Amino acid sequence: MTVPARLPTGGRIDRARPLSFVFDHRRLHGCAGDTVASALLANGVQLIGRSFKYHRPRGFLAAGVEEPNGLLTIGEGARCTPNVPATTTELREGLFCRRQNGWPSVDFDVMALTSWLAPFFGAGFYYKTFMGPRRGSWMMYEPFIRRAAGLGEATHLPDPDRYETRHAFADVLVIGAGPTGLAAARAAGRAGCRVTLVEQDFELGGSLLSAPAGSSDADLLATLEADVAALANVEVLRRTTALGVYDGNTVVLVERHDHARPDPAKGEAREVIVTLRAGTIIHATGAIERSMLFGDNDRPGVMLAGAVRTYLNRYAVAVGQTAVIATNNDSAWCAALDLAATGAHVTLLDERAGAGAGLGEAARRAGVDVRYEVRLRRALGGRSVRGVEYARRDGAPETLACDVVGISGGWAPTLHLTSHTGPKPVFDTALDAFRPGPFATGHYGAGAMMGTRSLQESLDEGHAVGAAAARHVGATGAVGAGPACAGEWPTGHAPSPPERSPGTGKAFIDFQNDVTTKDVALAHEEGYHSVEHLKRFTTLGMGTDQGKTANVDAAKVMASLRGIEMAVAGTTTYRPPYTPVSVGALAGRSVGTHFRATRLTPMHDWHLANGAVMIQAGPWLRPWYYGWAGKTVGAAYVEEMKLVRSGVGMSDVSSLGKIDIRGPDAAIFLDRVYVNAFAKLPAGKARYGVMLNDDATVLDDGTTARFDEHTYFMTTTTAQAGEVMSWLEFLLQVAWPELRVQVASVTDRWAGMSVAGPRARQALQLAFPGVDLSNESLPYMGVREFMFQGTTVRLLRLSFSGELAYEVYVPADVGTAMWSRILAEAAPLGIRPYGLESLASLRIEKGHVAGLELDHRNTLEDLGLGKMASKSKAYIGRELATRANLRRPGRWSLVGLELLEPTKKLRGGSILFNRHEALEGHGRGYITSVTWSTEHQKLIALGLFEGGLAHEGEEIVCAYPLRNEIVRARIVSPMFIDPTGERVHA
Amino acid sequence: MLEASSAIAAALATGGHDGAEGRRRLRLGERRGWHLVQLGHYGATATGFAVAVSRVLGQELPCSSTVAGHAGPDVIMRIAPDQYWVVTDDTGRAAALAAAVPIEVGTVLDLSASRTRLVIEGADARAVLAKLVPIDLHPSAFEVGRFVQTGVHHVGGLLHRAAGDRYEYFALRTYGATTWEAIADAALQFGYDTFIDGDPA
Repeated sequence: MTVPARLPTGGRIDRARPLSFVFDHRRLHGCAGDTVASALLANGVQLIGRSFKYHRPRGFLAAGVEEPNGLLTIGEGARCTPNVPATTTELREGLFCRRQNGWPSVDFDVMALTSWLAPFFGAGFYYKTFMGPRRGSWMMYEPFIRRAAGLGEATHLPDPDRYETRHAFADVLVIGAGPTGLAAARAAGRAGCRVTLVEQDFELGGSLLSAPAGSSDADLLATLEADVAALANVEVLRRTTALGVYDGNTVVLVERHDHARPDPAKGEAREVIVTLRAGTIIHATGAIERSMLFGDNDRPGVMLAGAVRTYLNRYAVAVGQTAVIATNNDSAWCAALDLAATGAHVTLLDERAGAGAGLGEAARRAGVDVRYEVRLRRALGGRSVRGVEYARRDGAPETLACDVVGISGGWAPTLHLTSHTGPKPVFDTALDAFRPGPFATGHYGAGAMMGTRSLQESLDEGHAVGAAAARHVGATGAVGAGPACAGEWPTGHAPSPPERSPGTGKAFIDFQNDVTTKDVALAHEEGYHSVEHLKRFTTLGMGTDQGKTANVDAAKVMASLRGIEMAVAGTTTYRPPYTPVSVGALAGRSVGTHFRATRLTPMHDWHLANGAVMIQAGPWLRPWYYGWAGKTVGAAYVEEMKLVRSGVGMSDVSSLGKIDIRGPDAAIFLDRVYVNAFAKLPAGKARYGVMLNDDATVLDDGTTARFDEHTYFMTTTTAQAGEVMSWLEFLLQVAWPELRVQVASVTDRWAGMSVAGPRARQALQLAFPGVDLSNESLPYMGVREFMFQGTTVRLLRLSFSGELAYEVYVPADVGTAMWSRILAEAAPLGIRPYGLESLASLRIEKGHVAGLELDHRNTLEDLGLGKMASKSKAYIGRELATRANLRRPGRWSLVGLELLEPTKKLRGGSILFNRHEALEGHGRGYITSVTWSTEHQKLIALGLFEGGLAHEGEEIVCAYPLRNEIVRARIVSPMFIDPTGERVHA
Repeated sequence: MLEASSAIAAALATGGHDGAEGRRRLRLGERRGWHLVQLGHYGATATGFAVAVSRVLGQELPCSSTVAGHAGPDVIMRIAPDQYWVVTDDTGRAAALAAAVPIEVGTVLDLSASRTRLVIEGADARAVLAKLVPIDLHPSAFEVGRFVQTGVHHVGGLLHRAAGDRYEYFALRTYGATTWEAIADAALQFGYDTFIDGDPA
């Protein structure tokens, strides 16, 4: 059909603002206030796509979010979005859209042949047919099936748009801005609450938008809008959908800004996910019209009666000139009367024996041909409806020619959001629909979503719950009288029949998934009786519309087949999101460099300016290696190691965890936390310590220095800094609140730099002239705090590298200045910076354990630290360390490994085996850390091996299955250099 | 004297950004030249601690954990049941407090340089922060003087409403640059100028 259907007058569109858009490469025109669907219908486009499975021609069924058929690909290039309902897409200038799922075109779709094979494609066809002939055959078929099925296709280009998230708060959240929601917001707002009113449409009004211009309903809407707009404390969010309701009155919304053509370069977001926390929630989400079950009820031109009326009155689109309206309730009479008022020829087929008061007379006056106690049997036509076949009960079929069929099988409350927090919907026999289950305290429902059909009753309910919600949050302002309507909606209805009407042709229940009444019967025959099984067997209720027009009818058909009440049959569980949401919106700004927070040391800018290649290490960005040492990490780290072993280098160790511990009982506290004794550590000294978890596995190691009687400075590994800090706070607040100790993280307070190498003392002597750094004055594990150029300097003589080394700490803001000063003053000694790779390699040579070995699975003994544990004091983990399994001989324990095959590589993660055993299973251990040893000129490693150093000297096999590599190695002491510690004491 | 440097010096050097409307409706900046002192007491020493501290500050410690107290130009915030922050421009404040508070009743810890104090100013400051922190900043819920410990980009920090349209966010220094990036990114649509408040470092 290509006849333009726009009426010359009427509707809520703005004819003064024409818009052009491209549809299937054709330029069409619409108006501001149109949806894409209304604009297409106005341009005479009735065939909107092909169905999912059978490729049947489809037109619009609905005018809102429940639309199952009218899914288009919107946009082009990187901004192409498939499967977007045209019924909810606001028309904008230049919009590009195309139909889906047809080849070579939707008008002439070769795949429509599948419709002829439909008898073979019943529910479960794929699962039954493509399972054989062998196990795993599905994997072979799947790509072809997926290519044949589906609707639109997503772009593979990166999304150029910006998405955001934000937080919002309200005393009262009103979901839905129909008459009920507007009345509720008006009342709550007048009571003085902070109200947020959200509406998925770009216009407020809900069902009132479908009323003819100039009608009393239109006047009521204008009044309600004005009332709400006058309240400064009511925030109205249009184009915003409530996707889900969660605990704590948290509601997730999505705001859409496509209409404003957001420019990502200007920081404008296309969509925003809003996490709104409300004091109370009012559900005013209305109801969704139900379909009718008759043959070929999916012909383009068959649409919900409410949609016919919406297109007519809101968008000024007459979707047909010869209309059949079929219904079991009064509401569809409005569509018939409004259509007739435009001059259309209308026949109304009512399944009931009579309609509501006054409707018959109104129809007679309007010239509507009314026939009672008749039921549709079949729609006639192909790519558009050409007529209907109907019959009286037990009567012979009759036909009527028409170009549009409006159907109404009743109304189903839109209760999805009320189910998200748990309550199951309850079937109401009188209503012939599910109602929301019991509301949680502080949640309210009103209007059509509660099954109320009368306009005035909806307004009254909205006003009442608005006032109640206000009271719930403590607002006491006067709400005044509720709004009143001048006209009333016809509300009579009868239950829809639970079976399809007699007649030929497929009777679709779920249009989007091509599920028919026959498929439900098949599910029943095969034992998939429950609604949940029915859903999974037939795919009913899945897809972008989630069966909004299908679920109730499907449950009724199944209940009838089973011979049970609807209350027993129940319905499937509604889960978020209520309508589809883009992945981009969910990600928000957590993309690219914003994916996670990055932690920078105080000297970061210096590193960047001086040739450092950075590497992500947990949250930190640290210098990996420096350009002076080589162009690749492999070359550079070896040069940096040589520098430290032979001269002096400096490394940024600001990322080490640093904790200030002070108070009269600080020594007692540390004595309990560490396995080794700290109580008698003298001021001016540091001690290496290890702390255990409750279960006696190693939590962390580090050095703690005592600067005065009550002040300690603990360093932790970079990786465990947060965990150790939390652990210490937990112990003080929960386990030992009587201890007079305060702890504070000072990781950010102090910049740290390690000066290491045989010339380290000379280097620091140049940097701190006048400070006595002699071995006598500052011996190994000695610490000192002094003022230098107005700055506090903490100097700890510690070594991670195994060389003579010092850690220098200064306040973070002067970190770069101190770093630069040391490099400058010690330049004559050849000092240079070294990075994380060489730092880690130097510690491997020395045999120091680090994060890779401290994985919360190893005991002190496993790591060769058993001798550190005090036998004379209690400490955390001591008791559980005696468990048999932790004392078991043969536990995987720390060893050193040296490569025996120089042409091959040792690799971290390699699985270790005895030399002559089969390389199967988990092996007898694994390699934790590998490096090139500048001292030994070979690859060395640390690892954990069954029985540990009891096997020292033995040859083993290291397997690396990822590269299919096998290499021989020898177990040696993990201390590859300076086992007597001469260098660190130099 | 060693020269102090800011954690967001590089970011500040890039300057502001025009918003979607071509305007700069916000001011984003850094407050410099200030000091942070963290005070703490033990379970049974709260009274003696309060007396000792109040003697230096000239006023009682605030009871509220959401409303800052003021002692002249100093801002006092109760950050935990037994811990307080004193935010001050007085270089000697930490030493004075340390001298006044015996270790038997409490601790005084100079945390200066551990935080980057970011400033967000302008009528749209609340809209920017709504993108970053899950806190109700409506004027009726977050009056001037209130503070809250929250997080930006999943990293903890402290937000203080210093004046009508001025919010200060105390970010961990090592996360200062990434927090600034998050704030500047959130402010992009509004446009912003950058500034440095207080003594230049």
